[in-house]
Amino acid sequence: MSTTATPPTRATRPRRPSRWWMAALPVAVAAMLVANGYRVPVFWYQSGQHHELASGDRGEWVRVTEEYTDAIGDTTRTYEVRLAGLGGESTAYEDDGGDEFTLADGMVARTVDLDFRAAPDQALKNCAVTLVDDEGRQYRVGHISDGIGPSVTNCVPEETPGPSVVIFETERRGALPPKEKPRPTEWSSSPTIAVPKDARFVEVRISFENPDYVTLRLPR
Amino acid sequence: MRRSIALAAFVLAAMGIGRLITDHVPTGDVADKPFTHAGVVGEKVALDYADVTVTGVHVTPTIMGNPASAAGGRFLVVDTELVATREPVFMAGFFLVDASDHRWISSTRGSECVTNAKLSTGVRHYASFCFDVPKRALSGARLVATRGMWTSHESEFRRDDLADVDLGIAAAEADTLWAGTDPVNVKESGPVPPAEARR
Repeated sequence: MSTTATPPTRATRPRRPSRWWMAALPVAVAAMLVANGYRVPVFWYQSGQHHELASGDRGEWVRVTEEYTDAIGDTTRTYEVRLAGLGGESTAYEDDGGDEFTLADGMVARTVDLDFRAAPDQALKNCAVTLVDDEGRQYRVGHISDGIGPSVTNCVPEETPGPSVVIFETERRGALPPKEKPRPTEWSSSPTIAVPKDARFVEVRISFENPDYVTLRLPR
Repeated sequence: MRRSIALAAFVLAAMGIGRLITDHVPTGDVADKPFTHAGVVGEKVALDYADVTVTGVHVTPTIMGNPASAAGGRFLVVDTELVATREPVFMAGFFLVDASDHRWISSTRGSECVTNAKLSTGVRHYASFCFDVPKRALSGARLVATRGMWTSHESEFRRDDLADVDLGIAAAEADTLWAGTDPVNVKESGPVPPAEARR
């Protein structure tokens, strides 16, 4: 006598615990992290120097092309920079209004001797120069948030600084104010930065806007 | 059927526990509150990014200038010395908290009164913050100094270091301070010590 097995129906099939949530859980966690992830670019990445564009040792030419956005749209600036060395130890410095004052508390103004090469139409005003010491402390001049030191011509010649970044759509990139001569294709600049007299520096950073920067290493 | 009832009870219990946690566990304190460093006048408060010292407190109806500025109530002028310790810092939040925890934003009506400070690493910065306040705000007033601006929900300085400096004004002193009429000459903020400042 033989019997024919009947296939289990929906009603007779033993119930198995649902496992769909096991697949959904990592998706939910990932979605949560992505939803909160806006904090990382806004509060960290874009608020400091976190993207090294290029680097080189003292005496070495470093070629840099960085992307930025002006009033017209996306564009680039290209330049070459070389760190000649550090110099100067003066206690005379200037505030953001150009008035001279005397540094105190063991601070001195040191010059950062830089050589540049760039086409005259590249917008290289308003660069920030940062000295980083062996303890990771950063000393800077030229950033919009810096309360002392010059802000416009730290990386360009004072008399022929070249074009500014375009801030109106009607402007033309690379244009100079009337009667201003074009910037030479090769020049030197020596911005000064207030630093502790006894600090030992390991690198110089050139930055036009966060998070991008260029590292020029000093010999240890 | 019994299984479905158990599952529903489990879900309800989970939701109830979740509600209890959000209602009674101070998650907001953990997630949002800044790290407060208390101090007093004349004492350096070391924050993660800067040292903050309140060097003087004045109460006056008038801040000298051209023209002079008259307070609606009285100007509570707080002189500070600020030094960035590791990297340049922009400190945007300087406000007064009174004994009732009311907050007062700094005024720029007085000549050379400022609302923020741009600090270069290692360079001492002198700044005076002026608060136009009523009499009740004087006793027990504290200066709060931080990087983020004060907003109604404090999100600008969540989980950041914050200096909370007792300005040392006792309730018994409030009448005397309020009655004072001497004008105060606020010196220019910046790296030049007030005694040497040009204006």
